[in-house]
Amino acid sequence: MRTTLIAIASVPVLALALPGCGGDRPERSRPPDTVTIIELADISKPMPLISETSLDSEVSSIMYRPLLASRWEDGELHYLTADEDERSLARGYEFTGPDRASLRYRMRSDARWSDGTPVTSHDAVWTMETRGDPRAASPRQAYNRQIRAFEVEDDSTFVIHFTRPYPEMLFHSAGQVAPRHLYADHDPSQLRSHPAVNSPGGGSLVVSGPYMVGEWLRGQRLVLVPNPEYHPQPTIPRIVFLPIPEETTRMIELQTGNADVMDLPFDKIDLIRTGSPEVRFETRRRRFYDYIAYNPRTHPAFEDASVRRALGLAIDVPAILAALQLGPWAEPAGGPYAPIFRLLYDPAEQAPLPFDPDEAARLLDATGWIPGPDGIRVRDGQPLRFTLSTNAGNQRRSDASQIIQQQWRRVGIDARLQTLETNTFFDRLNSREFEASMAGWGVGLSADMSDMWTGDRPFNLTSFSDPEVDRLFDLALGQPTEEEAAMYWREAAGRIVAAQPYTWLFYFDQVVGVNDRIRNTRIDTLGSYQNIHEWWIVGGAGDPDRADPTTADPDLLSDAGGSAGFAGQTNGGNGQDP
Amino acid sequence: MSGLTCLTVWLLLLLLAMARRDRIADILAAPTLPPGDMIALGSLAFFLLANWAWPLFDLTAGRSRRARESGISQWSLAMRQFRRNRMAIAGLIVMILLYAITLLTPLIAPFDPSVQGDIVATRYLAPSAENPMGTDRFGRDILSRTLYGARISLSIGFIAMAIGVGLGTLIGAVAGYFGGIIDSALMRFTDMMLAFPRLILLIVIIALFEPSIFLVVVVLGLTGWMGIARIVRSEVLSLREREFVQAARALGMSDLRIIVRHVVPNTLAPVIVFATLLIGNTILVEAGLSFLGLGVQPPTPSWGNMISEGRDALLTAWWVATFPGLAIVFTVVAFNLLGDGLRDALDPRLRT
Amino acid sequence: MLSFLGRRLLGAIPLVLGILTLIFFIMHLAPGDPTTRYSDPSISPEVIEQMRVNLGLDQPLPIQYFRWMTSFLRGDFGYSFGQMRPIAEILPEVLWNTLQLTLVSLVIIFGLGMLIGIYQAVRQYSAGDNVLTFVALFFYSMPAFWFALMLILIFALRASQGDWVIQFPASQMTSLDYDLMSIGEKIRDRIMHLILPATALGVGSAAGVARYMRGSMLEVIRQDYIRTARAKGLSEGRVVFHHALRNALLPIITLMGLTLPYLFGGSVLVETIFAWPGMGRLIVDAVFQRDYPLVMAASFVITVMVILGNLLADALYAVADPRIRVRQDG
Repeated sequence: MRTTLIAIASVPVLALALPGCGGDRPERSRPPDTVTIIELADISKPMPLISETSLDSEVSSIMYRPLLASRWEDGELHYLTADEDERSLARGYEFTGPDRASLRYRMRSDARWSDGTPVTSHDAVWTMETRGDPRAASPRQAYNRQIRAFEVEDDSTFVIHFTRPYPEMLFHSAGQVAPRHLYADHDPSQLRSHPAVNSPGGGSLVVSGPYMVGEWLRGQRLVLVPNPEYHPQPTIPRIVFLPIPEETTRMIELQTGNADVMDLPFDKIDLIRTGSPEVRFETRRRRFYDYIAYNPRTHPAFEDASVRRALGLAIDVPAILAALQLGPWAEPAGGPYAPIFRLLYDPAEQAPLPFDPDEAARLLDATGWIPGPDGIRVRDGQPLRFTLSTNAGNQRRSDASQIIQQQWRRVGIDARLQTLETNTFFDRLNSREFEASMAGWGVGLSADMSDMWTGDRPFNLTSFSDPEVDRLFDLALGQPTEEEAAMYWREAAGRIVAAQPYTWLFYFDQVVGVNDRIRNTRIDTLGSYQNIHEWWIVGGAGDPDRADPTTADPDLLSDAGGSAGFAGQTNGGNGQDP
Repeated sequence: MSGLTCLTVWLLLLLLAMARRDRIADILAAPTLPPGDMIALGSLAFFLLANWAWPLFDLTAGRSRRARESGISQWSLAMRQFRRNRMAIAGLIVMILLYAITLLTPLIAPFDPSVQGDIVATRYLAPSAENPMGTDRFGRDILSRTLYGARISLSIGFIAMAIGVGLGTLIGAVAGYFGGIIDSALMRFTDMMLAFPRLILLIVIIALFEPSIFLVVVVLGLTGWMGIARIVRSEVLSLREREFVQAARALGMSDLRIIVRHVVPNTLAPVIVFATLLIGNTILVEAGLSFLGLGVQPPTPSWGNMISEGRDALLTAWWVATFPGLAIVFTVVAFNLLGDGLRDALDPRLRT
Repeated sequence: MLSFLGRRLLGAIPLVLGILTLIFFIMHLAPGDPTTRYSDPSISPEVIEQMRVNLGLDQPLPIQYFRWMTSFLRGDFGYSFGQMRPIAEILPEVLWNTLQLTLVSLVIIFGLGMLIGIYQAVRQYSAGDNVLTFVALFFYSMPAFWFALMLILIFALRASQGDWVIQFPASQMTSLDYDLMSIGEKIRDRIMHLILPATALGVGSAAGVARYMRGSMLEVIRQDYIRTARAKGLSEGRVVFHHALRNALLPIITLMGLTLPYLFGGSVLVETIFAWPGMGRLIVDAVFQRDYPLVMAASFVITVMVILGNLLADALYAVADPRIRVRQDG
């Protein structure tokens, strides 16, 4: 008995004494052929038609080639043909038809899927048709709203016939293409349970982009390896995504040198700056904003635009930004379009509200809300008291709501904070069972915000209704190009801002920490992994100064040869300045 | 309590009152009196009075009390055994201290736990003379928040325990006393509740309504009674056949009276032990719920949600999560020591 | 005894079904459904509705229940609404992840716990006993997730910064280059990744076991037959480990049976902190996402384990203590 117990007790001790311990510890160096990326969560469905989370979309964009690759420059989205960006499947495009309501794509003929099959116009058409198929329940189904018909001219050419010319013809058609031959026989409503999507490793998930799935251990890691059919071959032979839900654990992994790329929370930036000098900071600019929505149907005070304006004036947004250490990465928001959108943002019409508690008090007094004995404003016997709800698990919003509660208190507004479980929160939001809610949107790359501000569209949370705005929306959607539509979007935004259905709080960036050994990154508004196939590692894969360019372990590269060595090596410049 | 102890406590409370006299003045001068402040003042007055008056009472009633205590009744035996156990006494003292703190918090806490000053200047300050436990992300004093959090956590623990004990005793006593179908039915129900995944139930119920202290307490209470029920039932089963119960029945007493006045008091010993341990356990569960975002919601401080708020700042401001954690540890240790001591004192089998 | 077990098992079946039914209806009572997380202005309500139809959520509740129950009774757990994969594929993976962790922690819980308890009983009231009591109590009263965070902070971060001899990984089950390692290195890698989470899970409960063990040993040691054994001249070691321990193990054995649900259910908080893809996280995430089939399947596993665990505890108790066996058969 005693011996048994001693045996049990010594197992852990023996294990630590196993090879590798004691004498020489291997020096902590980063693997020269692998880039490690830490994310909050695991991917879900890495296929363009059904990708659910933003990580899904980002990983999809690495694995599937689009008709036209896009780049964010000068506050606008630019589309690039195959001559300008190797990833694009289309050599060119042209608007045709009597009113230029049709779009012809001419695809390249040398693109292949990872199983060797050529990428053809049939794939592109099938992708877009299935996207519009209600049975598939694709999140992007709305893109097909203005598409009338498809016409395949030959294996490399096809035409999309729209119902009319409108600004987003390219946006709605130039996206990623999925392989028809893999999915066409499958029932569209069962796409999400397709075995290739759920067991994508080892080549079963057929892709066209620079990388394919090498291995996916759910909840543990996703390993991407180069796609042998993509040329030029990507520089880095192994990309690993690690999902880690707990923030402290993520930070520790970054600090112990186990990660190369990771989104950073704002209040940790100083910590990393001082403690891990090998990490540089990249910024993805101003696509996200937090706001407070007021539901006039549930609280009489919210029916009055002056009251809503007063609520906004009573909030000191710069103080919140300072308190939450958002620093240079956030700015007060004034309206639905972030300043990064050159054509849509109008600094005059969409300026953020100043912090003016006196004016707020004046407005409230003027509308009949007089402070009572306990400081809370009252009108007709009803106190200015309501519930501000937000969803659980978002520290930034929880913090902001606590600060805002205090700021409102000083002006005589009593807000009760309510944190709801996420699913419940969105359910209540959708069914309009809330008084005031703090939530956030990611600003879409499309200017069309009619879903949020028209009639009884599902995302018109505040029951906003303005016939002039509706008219402007129709005008905008009827314009042929984005430039011409922008004028109307701007004007509509101006009117919306004047009515203050929301209090727009602030736009914020996403800061990404990148280990300085990773070079040639392009991390911006569009995404972090746009040119991941062109990254290179100092002293490792793709380094122009390395003697032997093909030192990558052959086991790490996918089978089925065809790797062309290191062609397409780009310049060794750094990414953007932090 | 001996006279000397009373004197010491009385002096300490006086010192406290002196040190916080301006706070007391503020409370008395304010137009409206929030209930928390009322309770604090009232409790201070009561403790002062009690500690002054008890030695008087003790001395005059001295002889008969000592005669009572030197008896060999079950309770006096237990009390003597308990008193010998120093760890248990320590636990008892800590528990009394904690609940006294919850009553006196408005007087003891140096700062208002919810006030945010100039956040940028006072955020995440390391522990210092001004803020012995440092400040959190909003510049709020952690010591004050921990003290106020004690109120919340201890209240939740106590009330949830009370609900659990009440419900469990009822069910266990009824099941054990009446036996037969009632017993099987109630025990099946208990088994079902025991087999039910508690976490799922907690999450769903809290999601259905909104997370609030009231809901947390009720749900914890309604899911924690099963252990008590089992204990009470087995005790009642063995007691049922004892002579005094049969005698009571022969005398024509109603079942209810027998249960309430004769059976249940004899089951109290293991129940008390379990109850003290249950409080500690409930505090831990509440902390876990807060970690998932389902417990007490900010800005109300509870130890659980303070740890949760501080978990992301662990690398830069370790004190935000550490002190509430230590508070939980020491509180639960105290309750466990107390429970162990009670168990040693009340269980005749362990006595040598 | 077998008939007793048989009866209990039979009685457990309606219990499990009853619980699952309750869970089914409670889950559907909660606001929201699996499609709520697709709230996004770019997704039109028709798409959401279509998703609901695809998942069968547009049917009236009793019909959904009936469908689920019939396929469940046939042994088909269905598809997870969140992952859109057969649950029969998901569960074994996650269960195996969980078991690795909980089994190792079980070794800590019972191995360490018993050792400490025995020591405390044999050296009662010594300085060591008092210190251990307090230390054990300290860890027993600690929230496991708080302990987990402290562990990572010290043994992963500070160890790395201070370049300690032994440094532990902060998260995950295996290292990045696991596939490139030799067998020996692989085993070591797994063990290194297991130690911190298993400790976080195990130490608190080990303290609990130690308390039980101590009490039980103390009770046994005072018995007459132990005094007889000592009088006979047997060595102290033999007395303690051969005679006393055998009988003191009784309550511990029943305790082992009761850990079955924990073995299969994992712990959501510790798993979250260590990024361990286990059952705890699976269940909680499933509840948050309203992934009804997955919640039902996971609850089924847990419930069965609770019942089996109780059964096992009772059976082991009967096996170990002949007095009970006789009483039951007689």
